[in-house]
Amino acid sequence: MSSNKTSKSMSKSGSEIVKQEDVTLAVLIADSFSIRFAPVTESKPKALLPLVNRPMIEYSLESLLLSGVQKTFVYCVAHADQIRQYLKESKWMRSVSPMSIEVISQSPDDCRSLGDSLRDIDGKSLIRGDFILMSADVVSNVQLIPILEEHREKKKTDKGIVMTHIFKRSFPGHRSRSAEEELVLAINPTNGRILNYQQTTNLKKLSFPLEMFKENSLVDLHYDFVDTHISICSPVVLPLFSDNFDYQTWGDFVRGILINEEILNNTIYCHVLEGSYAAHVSNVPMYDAVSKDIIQRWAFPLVPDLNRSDKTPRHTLSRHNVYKQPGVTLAKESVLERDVAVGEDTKIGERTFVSQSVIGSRCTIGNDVHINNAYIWDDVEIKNKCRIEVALIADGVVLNEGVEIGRGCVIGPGVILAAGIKIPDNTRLMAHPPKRDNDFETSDEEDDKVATTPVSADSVAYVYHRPIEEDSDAESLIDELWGLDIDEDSESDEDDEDEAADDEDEEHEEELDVGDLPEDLNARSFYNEVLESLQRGYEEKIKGDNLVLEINSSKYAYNVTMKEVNMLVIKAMLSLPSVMTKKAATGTNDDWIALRPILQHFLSVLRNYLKNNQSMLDSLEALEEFGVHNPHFVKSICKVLHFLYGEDVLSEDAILEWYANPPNDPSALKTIRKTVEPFITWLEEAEEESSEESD
Amino acid sequence: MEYQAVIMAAGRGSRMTDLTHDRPKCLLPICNRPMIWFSFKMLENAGFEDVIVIIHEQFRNEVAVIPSKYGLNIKLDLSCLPKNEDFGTADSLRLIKDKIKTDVLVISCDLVCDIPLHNLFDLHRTHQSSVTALFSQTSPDVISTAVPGPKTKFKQERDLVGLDLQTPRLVFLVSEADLTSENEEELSIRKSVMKHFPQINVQGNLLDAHLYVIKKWVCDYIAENRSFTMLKGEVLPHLVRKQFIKAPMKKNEIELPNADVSVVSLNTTNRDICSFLVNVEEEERIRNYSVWNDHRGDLRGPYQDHNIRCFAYVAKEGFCLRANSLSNYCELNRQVIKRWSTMFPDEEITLPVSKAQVGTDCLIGETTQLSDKCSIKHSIIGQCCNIGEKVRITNCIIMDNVTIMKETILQGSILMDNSVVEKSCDLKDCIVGHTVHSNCKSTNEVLVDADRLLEI
Repeated sequence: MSSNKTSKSMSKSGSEIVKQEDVTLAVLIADSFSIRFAPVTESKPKALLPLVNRPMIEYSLESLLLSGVQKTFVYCVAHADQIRQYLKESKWMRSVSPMSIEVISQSPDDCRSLGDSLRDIDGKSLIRGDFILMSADVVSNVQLIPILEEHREKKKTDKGIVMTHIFKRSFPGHRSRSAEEELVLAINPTNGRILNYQQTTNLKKLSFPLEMFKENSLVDLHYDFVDTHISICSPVVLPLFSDNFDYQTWGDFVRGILINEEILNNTIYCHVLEGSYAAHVSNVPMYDAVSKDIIQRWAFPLVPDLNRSDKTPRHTLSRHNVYKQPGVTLAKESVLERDVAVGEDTKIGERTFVSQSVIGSRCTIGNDVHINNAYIWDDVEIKNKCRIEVALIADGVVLNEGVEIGRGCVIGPGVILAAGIKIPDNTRLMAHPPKRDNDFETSDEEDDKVATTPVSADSVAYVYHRPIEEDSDAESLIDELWGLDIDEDSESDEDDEDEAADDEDEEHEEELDVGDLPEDLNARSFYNEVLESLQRGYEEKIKGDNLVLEINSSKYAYNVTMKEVNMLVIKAMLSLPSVMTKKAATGTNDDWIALRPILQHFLSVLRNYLKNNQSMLDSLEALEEFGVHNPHFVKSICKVLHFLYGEDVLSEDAILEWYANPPNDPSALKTIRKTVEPFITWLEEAEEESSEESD
Repeated sequence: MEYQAVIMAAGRGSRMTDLTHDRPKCLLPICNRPMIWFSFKMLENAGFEDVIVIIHEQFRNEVAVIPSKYGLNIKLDLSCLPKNEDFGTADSLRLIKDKIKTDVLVISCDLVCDIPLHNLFDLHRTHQSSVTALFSQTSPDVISTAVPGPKTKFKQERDLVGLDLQTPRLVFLVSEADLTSENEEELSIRKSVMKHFPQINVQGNLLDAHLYVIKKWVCDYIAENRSFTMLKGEVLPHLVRKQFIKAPMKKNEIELPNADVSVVSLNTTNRDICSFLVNVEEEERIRNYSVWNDHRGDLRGPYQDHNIRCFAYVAKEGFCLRANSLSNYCELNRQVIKRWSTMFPDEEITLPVSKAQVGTDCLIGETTQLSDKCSIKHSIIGQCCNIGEKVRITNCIIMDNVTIMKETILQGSILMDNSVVEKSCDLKDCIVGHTVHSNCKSTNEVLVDADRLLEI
């Protein structure tokens, strides 16, 4: 291989391609470059975490072997030594193994993403032909060779093909969809070419370039695809990564390829699985889903009773998908209800109930324990009367009597919990206090204290706080939803309502604000325009003068009278807080808090329009009308008046004159006039005082 | 009577003004028959016995005689619009709201199609669709053909039609022009829509036949909501969007009994679309008891529990084209004559026997005189025309009472009623509306009277 290093370019090594095509190659990335499983992965690589009592990497290697791959490069980053050690002792390294394995390791400092690892592989120039790229946390029973053939077939007609990515169809709401990796794919249904790829987890609206529809008269938009993290790559993929240092993830790569499609003429195709299984253990909820799929035999032949690894004995399968390894002791009246796998030499106590769970080897579980939807790894000791519901409990954990673990908890290795403790939902615990980075000394001391003290005096357990990554807070939130009953419908209800609101937005924007708009269509459009200008002006801190210009031009465009301008500008300003936050006024002090900076910002605009007595009266009239239609606003009216008076926008005379005239809407008498009464009396008194003084 | 038919025949033909300044679009001839005849014929074939026709009042009499003139049995109920007033299709529907008793089939008079309508009705009936629209996949490619008259950049209007892959549901409908004009150059779809319809097939080359089957309650809604003027541009996209709205839970029942509010106020202010919905209880009950579902993949009920449902019937075969522009009009003439025997097997057309060379794909009015040695190819010639010696006509549409004198060459042109082309002219891709003097040579021009030009 060393001689090849000099001849990196594709043309020179043409003859070798032919040679290498005979050997089916795969690259297995044994790192997910994420901290989704923290704190469990702090001491153990993700690839070696047990999935239904077998290290995860076994499943992916098995998948590759089953589909006829002859040589696999295992690329390890974090805890590379452990993976190397594990593979060395496994059957894969024996000379009789039908698939040869080569381990490549790299230090985590030099390799922080999928992109880095592929660049590294390119630098080592190990690969010349098409290869299968897969992540070590993938469980699949897909026959990859036919897809590889398909890829090569497409290459004959489309020279630019760089990748065939494999997707699985699964509809929204299915458990095998990872909430973190939601995606929308636009493909050309006739040839399966990927036209657009978007990650949609945090999006409400999806946008597709019109160009795409112009160029392709048929486009299928798919929201029902799940990324399997398996792709068939042409050898050009590696140099493409090397050339573009900003490609970090698969998503970056696809987007980059699609953007530069016209220049480089590279294309990506998709393959949609029919009838076979593939899933990617991307986070804890997915770990849960994939474990269940394995137990319920969707991933056949990757099932616990056909375990080919020689280190761990096979499970025996009994009814209701209950799997037991040899040496399991079940005390009387204990129940393994359904979908349960129990590891070697594990003892389960009396009247203990286990359902939909995996229990590792050499565990001791006491009496009257309730375990549901939990993943318990090796050497765990659970004392009597514990309750575990939807949790992941790592190696060597000890739960003393009566511990209750809330939903969605992850208990790191070696944690010891004292008797009777209740762990709240979605907690992640670890056995040692969190390491502090010296860079972040600025954090609150109180915070530090909480983090560095154990959960209780007798326990060895510290709460793990996930470092807050930029722009990923929403993602981690989704991740933490594990085990909580996410009512899919309620979520979509919300969406629907939003949508309904949005719809209204589009059509009758004015309805959202106030019902007091003029019938006149022009004035309405004018109002909307002003509202938009103001919103933008406020958000972008545009100068008042420029806004005045803008509003004036709208005034001419819609031919509205000056009186209308005065009134509508005021109304628009008052409704701005509710428009911007999409929330109606609450009737509390918050309204004023939201409104005040807005008015402050627009003072110059107001001064421009409210120059004489008549215009001030108009604006007061508008204020009143607004109050009539927004009962919640009434409470703030006094404050608005006071503020505008204080800023000399409204003169005393105008306010008093307005107050002296009867309101247009009689209902205002009771509400608005009453609320402003104290202010008016204060004004009058002040006037008297000043006149007295002048006397 | 399950369906009523309405023909919208008050269109002015604004995209072919050169032909429509003195007559309505619906009376322009296609293969020597007025355009609206094709609508009548289609409806009669589909089993309709009467039809409501919306027409400007000045053309009332002309349209009224068409069925008897061509031996059709269909009864016309003519609803007239005042002269010189433009009504949108939704406006027109509002005008005749009192005549609408059931679900309505709305067609535009410029549609010529031989797609069997019963499939569309079946779809509408089975799914209790709010609106069912007809789209055609097989529209002939029109863009390539030369167009008579001044050269303009002709842009075929394209819609982006989003269809659910599992059901014939219409998920979105936007015209490309709308998207482009907003300078966004992108199509946006809500994620919640994709949650309901995770597989959307977006088609850009479908022809919207402007043929809709509309539920009665939708007509009421249109009648009530005066802001709608067009069906295609406004009502349909609106309904398609409203599909995803959750109906308020039995709001009517709660509100009405204890309502001190007068009924008038309920009717005048914008009533919510859901209040128009007429739910047939029986059907709902059947749906609740049945295990039938129109889609799979989630746990939602049939039709995603939507009460407003828009469906699209995409015809994979059959002919369908609208004469809504000059190029389409020419193309229609050419296509229809080619397909005449399959489209209208019961309407015989005979070619006159004469000494002239008449190629295939030609239609010549019975009372037209052809002189010796003239050759006619791919053309349609109306009644009472007089064609001189050695005249060569290719790819032309010649209406009634036209005189063409000897040795003239006509190519790809339209000659309107009563026009005269004197001898030895050579016209290519022209529109002729008056007398063209001898030895005139023109291409791509509109040759009409000067005073008419002034009008325009």
